[in-house]
Amino acid sequence: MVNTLEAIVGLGNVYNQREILSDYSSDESFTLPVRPGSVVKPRNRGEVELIIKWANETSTPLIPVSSGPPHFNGDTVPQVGGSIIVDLSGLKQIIRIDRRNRVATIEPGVTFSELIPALHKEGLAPLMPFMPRSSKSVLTSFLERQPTTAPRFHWESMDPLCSVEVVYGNGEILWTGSAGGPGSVEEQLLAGRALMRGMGPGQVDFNRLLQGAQGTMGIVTWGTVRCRPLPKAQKIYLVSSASLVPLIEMAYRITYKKLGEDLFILNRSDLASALNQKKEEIVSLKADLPPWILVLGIDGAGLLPAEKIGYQEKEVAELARQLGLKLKAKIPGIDVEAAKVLFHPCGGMYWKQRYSGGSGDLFFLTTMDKADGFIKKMKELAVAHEYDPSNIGVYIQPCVQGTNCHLEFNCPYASDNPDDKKKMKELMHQVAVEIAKMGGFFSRPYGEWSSVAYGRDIQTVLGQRKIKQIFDPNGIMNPGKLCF
Amino acid sequence: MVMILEDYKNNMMRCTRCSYCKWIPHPVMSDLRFTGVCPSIEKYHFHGWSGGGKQIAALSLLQGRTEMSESFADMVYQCQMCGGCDVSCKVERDLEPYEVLQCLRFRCVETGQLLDAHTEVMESLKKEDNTMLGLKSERGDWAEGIAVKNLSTEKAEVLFHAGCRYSFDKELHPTARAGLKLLLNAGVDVGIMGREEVCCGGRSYEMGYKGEFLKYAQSQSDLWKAKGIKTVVTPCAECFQAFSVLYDKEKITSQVEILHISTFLDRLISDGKITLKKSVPITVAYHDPCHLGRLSEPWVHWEGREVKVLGQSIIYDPPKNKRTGRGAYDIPRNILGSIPGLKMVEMPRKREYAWCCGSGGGVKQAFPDFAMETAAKRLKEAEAVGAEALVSACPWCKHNFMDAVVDSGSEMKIYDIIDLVAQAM
Amino acid sequence: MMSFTRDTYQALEDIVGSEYITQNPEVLDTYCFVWGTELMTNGDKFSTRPHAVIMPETVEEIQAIVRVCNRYNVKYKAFATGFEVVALTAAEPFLPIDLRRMNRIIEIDEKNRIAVVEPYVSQAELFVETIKKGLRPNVLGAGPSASILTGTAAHMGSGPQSISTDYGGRNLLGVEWVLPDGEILRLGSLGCDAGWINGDGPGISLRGALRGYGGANGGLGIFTKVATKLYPHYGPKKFEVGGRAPNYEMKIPEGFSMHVVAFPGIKQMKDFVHLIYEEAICFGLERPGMFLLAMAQTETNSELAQLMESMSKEDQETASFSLIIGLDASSEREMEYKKKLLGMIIDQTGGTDFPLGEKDEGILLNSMLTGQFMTRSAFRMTGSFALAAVGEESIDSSFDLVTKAYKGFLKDAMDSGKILKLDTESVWQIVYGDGVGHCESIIFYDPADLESTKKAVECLEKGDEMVAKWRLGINSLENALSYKESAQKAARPLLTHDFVKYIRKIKAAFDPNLLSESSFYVAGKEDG
Repeated sequence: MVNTLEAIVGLGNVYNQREILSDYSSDESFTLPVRPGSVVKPRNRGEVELIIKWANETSTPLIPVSSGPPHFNGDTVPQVGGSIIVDLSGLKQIIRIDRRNRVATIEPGVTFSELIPALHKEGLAPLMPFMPRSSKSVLTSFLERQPTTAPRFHWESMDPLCSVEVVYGNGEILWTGSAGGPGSVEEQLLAGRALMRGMGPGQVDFNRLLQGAQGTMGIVTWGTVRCRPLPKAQKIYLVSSASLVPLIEMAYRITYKKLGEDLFILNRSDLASALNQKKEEIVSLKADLPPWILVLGIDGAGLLPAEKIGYQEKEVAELARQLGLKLKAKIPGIDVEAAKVLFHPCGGMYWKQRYSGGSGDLFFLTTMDKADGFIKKMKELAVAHEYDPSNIGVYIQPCVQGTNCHLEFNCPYASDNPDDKKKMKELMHQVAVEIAKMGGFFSRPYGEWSSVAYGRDIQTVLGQRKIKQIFDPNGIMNPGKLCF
Repeated sequence: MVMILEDYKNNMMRCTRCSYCKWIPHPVMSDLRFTGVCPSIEKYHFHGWSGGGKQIAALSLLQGRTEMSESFADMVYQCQMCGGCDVSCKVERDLEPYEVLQCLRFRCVETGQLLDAHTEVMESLKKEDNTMLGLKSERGDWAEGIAVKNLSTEKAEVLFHAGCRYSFDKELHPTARAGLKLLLNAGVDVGIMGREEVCCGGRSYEMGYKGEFLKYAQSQSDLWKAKGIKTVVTPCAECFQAFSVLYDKEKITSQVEILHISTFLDRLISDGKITLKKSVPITVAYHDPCHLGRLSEPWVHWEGREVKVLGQSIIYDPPKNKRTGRGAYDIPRNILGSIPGLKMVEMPRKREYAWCCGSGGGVKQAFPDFAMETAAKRLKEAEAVGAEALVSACPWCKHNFMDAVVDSGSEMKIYDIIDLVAQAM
Repeated sequence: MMSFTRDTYQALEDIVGSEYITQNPEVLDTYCFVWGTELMTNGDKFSTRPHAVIMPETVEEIQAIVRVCNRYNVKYKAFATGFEVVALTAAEPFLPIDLRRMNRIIEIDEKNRIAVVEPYVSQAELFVETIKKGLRPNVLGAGPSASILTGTAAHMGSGPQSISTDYGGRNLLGVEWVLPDGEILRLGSLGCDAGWINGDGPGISLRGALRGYGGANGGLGIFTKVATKLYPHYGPKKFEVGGRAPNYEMKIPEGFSMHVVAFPGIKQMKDFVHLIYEEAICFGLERPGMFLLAMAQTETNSELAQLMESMSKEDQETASFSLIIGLDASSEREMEYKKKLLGMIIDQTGGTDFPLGEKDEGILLNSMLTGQFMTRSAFRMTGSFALAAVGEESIDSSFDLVTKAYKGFLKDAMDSGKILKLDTESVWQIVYGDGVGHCESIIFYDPADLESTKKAVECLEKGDEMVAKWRLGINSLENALSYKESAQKAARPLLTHDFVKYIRKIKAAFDPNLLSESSFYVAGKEDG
């Protein structure tokens, strides 16, 4: 096997060392560790094709991985021993940046940290999830439908992903969206197209059959992502509240009036972790912070940056006043300068790990008006499991222009304490079950969430298996994930 | 220019099935409960019952894909000929759905696809000069006891033409009588034909009996000429439309001024000959009768041809007037507005896009349930805007609403505009 | 191998009752006649007469109908407002399932800006109800009578407000979907008992099988409810409409401002569109082409023809190189900012902002908000229209496609006199919320004139060929308007990677009996 793989990807790009295999055998989630057979690092699409061909011939499972560690969702942990990790993190080409059409085409190993300076040079900025870790692959983020912090640009779940090149589990290649052609990519670009329409081609949305797949359909070897114009100035505002409810209302009104760009809500726990590297600093800040904080960023982009900020600031301030809130540049514990880190990839240790090393994460989609109810349930369950609810971090990200939201709980625990880990696993399991009963939508069903997500509509399972059968008939792509 | 069904073939082929004919014009939609304009498709569901559907069916007939049959005729006749589809279609297009519907009816009659109920009406017309299955000898009874000139033997400037419905529908006699008395009391030199009055022919035209219509139209026109009539006033919107539009359309000309009673009353009020003094404290919704409203737009004759310019742009040479429902909407409202104490509320469907009362086109005779259901929907609409009473200006509307009130148990009061004016005297 | 027999009819009648099914030929012929049929049938206004027409009311009835069709091997297709060639044109008989009775707005979630509707709810109806709540739906250029569901799930949709409401298919959230085997699939969050909020997931999104860029046009089962996004409406709960048929006048309320801006050339127009898109200040943007502007002003086609004949080539080009821009604002200061910005962008790109009277502003607002005048614009002149060349991708390439199509083959076609002759590009263009541009090169033909229809067909075929050759996509809206895969067939030899076979596989997987009528989708088999 190793010889064959080395023949494909070259000597030095196949890894079988115990320590390396160990790194890929588990992650920060509660997924059962399973050791892969090898790790391979292809250098181009051709090698990916050959790997997949070989995997079909030998019935060897493949697990595509594009981001560097730490991983949190269990999707990169093999379910089957002897699987091959296809590590694409070395594919780091930024193929093209198109300022005029506001898109960039990149390889899967490109991280946000790498993409940002390249975009800035062209007058663009990325649409980005909340403080991605420095090793986070941009394409993976969007293939997994991770929400970005700017709901105004988030028209629907597919965003901001546009056309991609994929090698399916069946070994065939497709260009999705408008890149589907006709013609080669070069010909299309010459004709003035930009690989920027993610839907299609034709009457199937191939992107949608890849997004959320957790690598079970194929391997993406390049993708186009939509970007935002680089603002000449950006103003950040903080709105604090003892209760979540008025901030939710404010978020609704902000998105209704289409004000600002970045918008999210954090509780003090998550905010403190995001802003500080050390546990004691986190504890100290948390004590100062108000319970809930809404963060709004207004981009001063375009022809009248100052005026845009000016009028929008007045609008937002008025909204805040109506709700008995205040728009501030400084709240107990932080000011807007310090808050700027929230708009960048995470430096140093990943923010979720800073408090205790481990983080029991759970996230799902719902609507903002239901967030409070879910949070109450989470706290109730935490108490029942003897977990201090004041440690629960909450992150609310309005999505799809505010029509729904990503609600995330981050529960720090001592990752080096097996008992704590066991308890956290049990807590998270019960939370998932209860949240699903309450109507939380696990659109990204990692690990055991898949059983709650898929347990309610058999036709969804049957339908997805039909798709799987088409694109990965031999089931070599990350078996055991989702409902496959 | 006399057009037959075949002359509208291009129209039919240019229908694009946009379904606008089923709805009131979209810009005026305001209440989802009241957005339809076509009673036929609301009752019978399938596309063939819409104005556009009948264009397509007509083309199918002309192309020999279908034959005129009982079911085809039912589809044609299950339609009040209200003209709502025509107004809506013409907001965006230059097609003639109403004329096609009319030609389809002529074709039904020509090919012997007759409805028993209509045949009965036509027999009555031929025998007794009325569509109400009444005796000609009893026609003038509605005016018994009123000192009014009988123009069979006397002369007057103005002829009050009651119409078949008012003449024979005893429930409506009080309204007819009140209307005549309003004129008399205002000092108008008015007379009636009494038992010598005959049908205007309008209903027979709508039902497809063009030959009968032409006979009555000519006879009516000759009568007016013979009697030296200057003005014909009628309280019936259908008679009004027949006299003022259909006669002209079929080139039965006369020099007589044709007025609906609402117009005449409006003049009398403006001239101070009628003063509305008494308070009539009621909230009313005014129902625009099709024949006083959109169907009463004057006919503009056209002789010409279809030509193409700019390659394929279809125009008419000479330019052709497009009938878009320019009827009488304001005068009845003005009258109601001048009645002391009366509050008017508007229904969502009004004026040229009013919902039909349900009784036109021979539907009341042949499909009474359909007529009733259509009227019941209008009652609901009036209730929805808080009206205590529904007032119209046509005996067919009034009667059908009255029937629907009884059938549905509604508490809506039904009036003609004459009734309210009389109450305000 | 059963087909439509007396037993089939009886089985269907048992589901809906005799009132809601018919085989009367005069009725059936109204279900094989639709805008554009003649383009697919060598000029015949009627395509194949269907077996019968059935009109269910509930999703259970639809399931039962689909099962009967499977039992008796009868092709079927759901049909709502049906205002396009894809709705009813087919080569073989099928059973149209008329969804007219499924006309309810199930829910309007004001807070979360979502509406759930049945198939027969029109854009006009949803508009009337949502503006009462400070919201508006995505309204497509197909006009007010078109079905909301069609634009989001079944077909495709672009409209003059797309810059603020995006593409029809991108507005789709949860769906209740009767699969071709009669089972119900509740898409996305609906299947997880989490409401209608999201159509994607869990995991991969079957929304990707349900539709792509184009919808399946009835070829993959029946959608009985859809959830669609709603957008902020800063205007009144009810617009003041005056005037009378045929020209109703919407009074332009506070918080709206309409503009018509002409440009000296394509480059400036492109630059303008890019700039204004990035500023995100308009609720509507549209390049209506020369005639579309004139349409709104005239009562009859004769008036319009007179107006057009009086226009010089320069006038026509000015009109053709113009954009209609709609600004909306929730406050005075917002409007002030937007107007100032608009002025700057116009100056920067050499545009001319034509002064508009209130009446004209009202007309343009009406058109932009409700899709009013679409039917007038598209059909009144010659009786019908078709899209010879369609493109959707970058803003610049969509402009280029229109120019190429005009110079490449449309000008000659117009000069033949067999389609409407203009002295400039015949176009409709918009931009979506995600920055993708959409263009249509429009030809106007007379469906009552066989020569004109034939010329239109020629233009469509040429468009299929040339759009692919120019590498500007697959014509006919990537098959959404392509009969029996005609545009795809033109493009397929030039595809680097064949995606069509996958669509076919998905069709075959979900509809193994191949009974969901697919004339405007894909055949289940390569040779089919």
